[in-house]
Amino acid sequence: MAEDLIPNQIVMLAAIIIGILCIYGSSLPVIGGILVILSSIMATVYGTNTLRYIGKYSLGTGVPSIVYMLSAVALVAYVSAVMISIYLNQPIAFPILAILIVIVLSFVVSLICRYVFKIQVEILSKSFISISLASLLLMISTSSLIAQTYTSSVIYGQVIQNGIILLIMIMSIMAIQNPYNSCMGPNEDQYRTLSLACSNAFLMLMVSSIISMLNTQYWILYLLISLIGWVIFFRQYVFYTKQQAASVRTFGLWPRDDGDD
Amino acid sequence: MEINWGNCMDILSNLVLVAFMGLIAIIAGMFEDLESDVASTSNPNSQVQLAPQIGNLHKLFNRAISGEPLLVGTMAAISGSIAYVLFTLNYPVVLVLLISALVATLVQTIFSITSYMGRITSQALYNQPLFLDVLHKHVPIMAAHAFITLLSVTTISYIMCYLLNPAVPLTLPVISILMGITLGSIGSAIGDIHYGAEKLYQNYEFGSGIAVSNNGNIVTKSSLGSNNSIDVVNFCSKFGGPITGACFGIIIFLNFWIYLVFGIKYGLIAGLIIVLLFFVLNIFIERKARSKFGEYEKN
Amino acid sequence: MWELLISLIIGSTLIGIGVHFIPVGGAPAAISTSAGIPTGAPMITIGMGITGILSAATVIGQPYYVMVLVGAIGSMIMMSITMFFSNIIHVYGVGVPLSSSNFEKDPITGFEQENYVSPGTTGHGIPTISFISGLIGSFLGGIGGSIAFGSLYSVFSTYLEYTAVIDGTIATIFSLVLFFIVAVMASYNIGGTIQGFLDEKFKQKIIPGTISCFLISVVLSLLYVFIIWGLIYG
Repeated sequence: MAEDLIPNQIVMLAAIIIGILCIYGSSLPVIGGILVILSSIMATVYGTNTLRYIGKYSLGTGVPSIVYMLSAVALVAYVSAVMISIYLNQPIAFPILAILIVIVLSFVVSLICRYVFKIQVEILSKSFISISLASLLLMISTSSLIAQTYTSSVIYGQVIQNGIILLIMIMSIMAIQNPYNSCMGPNEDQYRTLSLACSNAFLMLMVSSIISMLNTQYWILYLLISLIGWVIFFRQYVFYTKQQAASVRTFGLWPRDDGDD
Repeated sequence: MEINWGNCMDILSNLVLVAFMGLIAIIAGMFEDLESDVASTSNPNSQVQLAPQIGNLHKLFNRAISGEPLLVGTMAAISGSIAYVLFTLNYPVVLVLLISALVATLVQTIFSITSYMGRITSQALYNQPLFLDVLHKHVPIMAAHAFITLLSVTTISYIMCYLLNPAVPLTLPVISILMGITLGSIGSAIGDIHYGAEKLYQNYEFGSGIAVSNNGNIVTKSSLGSNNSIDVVNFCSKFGGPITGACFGIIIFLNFWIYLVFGIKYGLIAGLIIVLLFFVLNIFIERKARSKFGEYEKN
Repeated sequence: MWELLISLIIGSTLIGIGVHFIPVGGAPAAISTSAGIPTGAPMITIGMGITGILSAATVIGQPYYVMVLVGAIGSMIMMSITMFFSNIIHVYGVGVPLSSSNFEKDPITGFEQENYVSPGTTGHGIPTISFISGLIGSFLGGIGGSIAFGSLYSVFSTYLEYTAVIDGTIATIFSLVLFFIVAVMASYNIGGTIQGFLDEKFKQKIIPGTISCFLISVVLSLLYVFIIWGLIYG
């Protein structure tokens, strides 16, 4: 694996701070949608970067299974926080409450893995908490884009009651685990993986902005912004690929052993 | 004796719809398996991944997006949710089904392109080249198979959600996710064996499993130069694809049919009889395979 | 509320135990190098449980025990047909007899296993005793999932005044998430491949598996009951 040029701690701090600020800003009329697009990108980058560290340890099942379980934990925390903040009638507490519940739940899961299954990996607890936190931030940002606000009663009516929350969960599983799974191998490179992560996040946001057709008339604006963002990061990914591949050919067979051709 | 015509027409129309669902499920299962063969998804892909590491460079497609149930589930979820949004805005039925399948196919195509480029580039250490003509030729075929699969899955979910008479009380996005994950796990459990154990290792003699020492020695040359995944899908469409389609079609059809024809309580007994029937058939083919193939020689 | 808590805990633990019975081969089984169903353990379990929830959701107006039995039969039908067709491809497509080198003799049919295993592999296909083990696993998993789904649905429909569609959707979301978490935790315990209850690995792994699934189901069920209590009385 090539040297890491962006350390994990900076990614973590940037994702959490920008994520929380943008989610609280999502009730603003037009600019709210653009802010949550930014926080979705940061959350995806954070999740993928953490997955690159824990993916090297073989935990018995493959890489996608870790993300299934932790995203399901994040969904449990999400739904609990929605219901608790409806009960207490305090819509402003919903994101912070969700973050607290997910940290506790994923810590419990990692304790069970360490003491009952005897999996000895030192960064297990920190990685599990990071991946489920990234997944939770991604899910809250996308559902704020669809419902145009972060108030829990509106989210309950627009996103949970018609089942679209399952689409958001499964798209966030795909967006976090696909970049590392697609770029796994001895020549895995951080810049290339993270540019694929941003491109996947914009693809997910394109689908979400089509679904937000139900709630806003500015969905074309969000679709255009996501499309432009996707094109930029996809071209960057193709550029890195052509630079780092062994050789790029458009016809013929593979080279023989003695280096001819 | 009074015949309740309303009740009869109800059961008859439900039977016709369930038979139609079974037919579309056969098509969905077949094309899902063929699409995962042309793009080399999931378990046999570990062999295509292993081959350059032991020196066999190849020109096959290599896609590792995620596990197969999650991939089909995600695409079915996207298609089902976009269909749900467009149905709420009252667009006509056939147009909605086609548009939602088209959008999901585009998303799957983009994932396949980036995944192929990512995996091959990460094996630059073993000198595996990145072939752009593989992309140009395989991606349209993969997109065509995926479109038919997603259209079928969305149609089955639409029939279950809106047309059956005691309709299934779930919304369209939820039903399409459940259908997609079921289809993905069935397609991965059945059709991939024909691709992995038979077509990838055709240079070995028919009739044995692949020994651990032979892992990675896949067939790389074929009649037009290099073995590519279009040859693979040509081979697997003769046996592996239709068997997967038959399995998924039978599962979907039987799950609804036994309760329509026999009622709820006798339907449970009928379901148990069907399970025992397949168990007996399994013992039968195990005995037949043993007597026909015989033992392995020791050498 | 106490019935909901007890039934959620029992349901999730049954799912966890059922996962250990299913004969999973993983990636090597897809190239006939090892016996079992050729997918990963979490994938086939989630697929099997989802068929159970889908079958239970089609008979929603009926009494509780009918829903549970319908879900169990639904997932048993899916598992038996999938295993049968997988064996057909092994016998007629690849040309191998069904055998596994994990045990000497099949107790039900009395077939010898040793001479029918290709040299260099550890078996292929799903022999009869693994088939029975898969049926038991899918029965337990289907019952567990339908118990969770059924009790959540009956609590929603008696206490809250939503339509049947919204009740069914929210109950499905809760039970699906339960499946995801418990199935992946149980497959971490299995750690790769298992051949059903006749494997030696089964005897070592079943006790830690049951304890861990019980712990995680207690945590999740307490959280669910807390949320639903707040939703009803809030």
